[in-house]
Amino acid sequence: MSDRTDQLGPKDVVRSPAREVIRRFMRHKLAMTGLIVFLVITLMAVFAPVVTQYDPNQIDLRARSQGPSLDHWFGTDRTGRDLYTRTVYAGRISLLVGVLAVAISVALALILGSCAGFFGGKTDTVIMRFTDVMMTFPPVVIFVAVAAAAGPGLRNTILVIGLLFWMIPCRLVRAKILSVRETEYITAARAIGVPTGRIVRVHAIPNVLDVIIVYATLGIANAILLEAGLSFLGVGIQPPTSSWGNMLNVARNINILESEPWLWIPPGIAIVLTVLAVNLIGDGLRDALDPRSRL
Amino acid sequence: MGRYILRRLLIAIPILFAITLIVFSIQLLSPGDPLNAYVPPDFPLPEAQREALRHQLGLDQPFFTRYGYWLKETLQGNLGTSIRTHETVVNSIRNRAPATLLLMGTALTIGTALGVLFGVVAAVRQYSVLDGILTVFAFLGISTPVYLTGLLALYIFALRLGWLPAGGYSTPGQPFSLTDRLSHLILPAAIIAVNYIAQTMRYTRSAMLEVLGQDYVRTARAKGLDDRVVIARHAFRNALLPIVTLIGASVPALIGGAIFIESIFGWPGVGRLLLSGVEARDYPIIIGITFMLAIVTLIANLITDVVYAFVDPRIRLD
Repeated sequence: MSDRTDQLGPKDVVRSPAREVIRRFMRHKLAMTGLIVFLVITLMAVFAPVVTQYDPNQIDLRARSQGPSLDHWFGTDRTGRDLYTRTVYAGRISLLVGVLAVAISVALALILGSCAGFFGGKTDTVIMRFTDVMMTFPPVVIFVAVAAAAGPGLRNTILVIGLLFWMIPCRLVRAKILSVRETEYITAARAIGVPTGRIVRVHAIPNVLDVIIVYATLGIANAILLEAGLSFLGVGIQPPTSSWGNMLNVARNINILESEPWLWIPPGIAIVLTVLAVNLIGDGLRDALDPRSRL
Repeated sequence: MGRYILRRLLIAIPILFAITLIVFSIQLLSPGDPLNAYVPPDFPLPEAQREALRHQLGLDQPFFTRYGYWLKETLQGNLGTSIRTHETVVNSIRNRAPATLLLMGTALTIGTALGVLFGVVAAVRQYSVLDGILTVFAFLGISTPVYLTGLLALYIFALRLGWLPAGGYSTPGQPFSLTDRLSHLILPAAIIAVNYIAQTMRYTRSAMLEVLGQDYVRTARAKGLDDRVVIARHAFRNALLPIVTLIGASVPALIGGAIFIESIFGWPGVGRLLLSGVEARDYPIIIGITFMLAIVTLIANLITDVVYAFVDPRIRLD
């Protein structure tokens, strides 16, 4: 690149910003590793019936509490259900909760954050003070308390995580909107009489997309961890539906923890692999979206 | 300085009231009859008696009347009585608080010391093998949830290797001894600290790298000062500033970790009290603890602000 001058030569390629970001992301080795791992996990979850040979809830009393074998790759639990099958199916639930919860929280953050940043004044004060208040609750504590009151289950777990997880992205969006608001093109749009709603949608929101994309990616990792945590404590996804968290739950029994490690180690590895992969993707996206970082 | 602290305190008051309102509203989310928390719906109790009980507990009052009553009592230091144990919530928390404070205090101390140390080493030896190893550790530490680390540590160190006791606060039947308490404390405290170490390390590393690139560090080196003096006096002391805020900001996450770890290690603290309250739908306990922990976070934030203003005079000016 050292021989490059200010002028574009015939061999230089001009890329659109989106393509440039994709190109930079593809060069990020760790992020690409994360993406591949995440894709494999997602595909396995989506095509769970194809990659497994048992029914996740099928009880087989002749095959109870067996260690890993050729028939049962990850062994079986105390009612003879195949743990490899359950781990794969659990991935569906964990990924579903992660993605939907983040979709809710990001939507909330976008609405609240852009209102606070764009309208300023009283709206801003009220929204930001509310955000401050919500942030004084230690995360796990408030999730456990709310989940306990609302009752466990898939829908409530998604709602609890989604509705209590918007504070940090909301602040990010507000900060970004505040800086965008002062730019000339917004002033210009105002001057020619573009309605405020349209200015926010067309000019302001696209500018916060990079912040949101990175946050949403990392947020999926956190949401998966939270879902697993709540289910581990028994206030999240309820059996017989398997999620990685409630599969770990049995390990709170110290006999199972000691004598049947195959019950809890595979879902544990699944959580770490998924979260690690998502975090790597998030880091890669952050670097790829930041024009100052060299890639 | 005094005015700064006063202003911070004044801002905290409306936040405190908002916290009480939100905490008290949590029970509204509960579907069905609030009386169910006191008397199971299938319990054979005549409807008239149910009504009487409802009236006695004030459950027939409108929400804000109940909130006003609860707030009045709370401000006088009465958080109600546990439905399950009939012990006052304040007493229940007071009995469990020392164990949690011990656990969190140890975790915070270990975590800050190791996290800052690793961070400084990683920054000073940037891009070395050691830096690489520490970075990988940090990434794993952030991606591994505390409940999984806890299960693994319990499995390896207590059940397989037998080095440490498998949970609990002390060995039953033995008189209190410091070594016994420490042997029970070290594993859960270290596990809570792992995630925190990883974060502190990454934070310290980038703070140190930024300071190491400053002109005054280069000047100090150019003067021919010993490298250790430059790192300890010129770089580290300035890098400490942002780290102060991190310690305070980590308190909520550490409390969250403590809930999981107390459950896994059978540690008789506030976190386990909350979980037993959750299992029994014991709202006075759930609300009381959530409220207390929010207050702890609020105080931690206040202290962080004050300490930060103390170590960095520039903050006080705006």
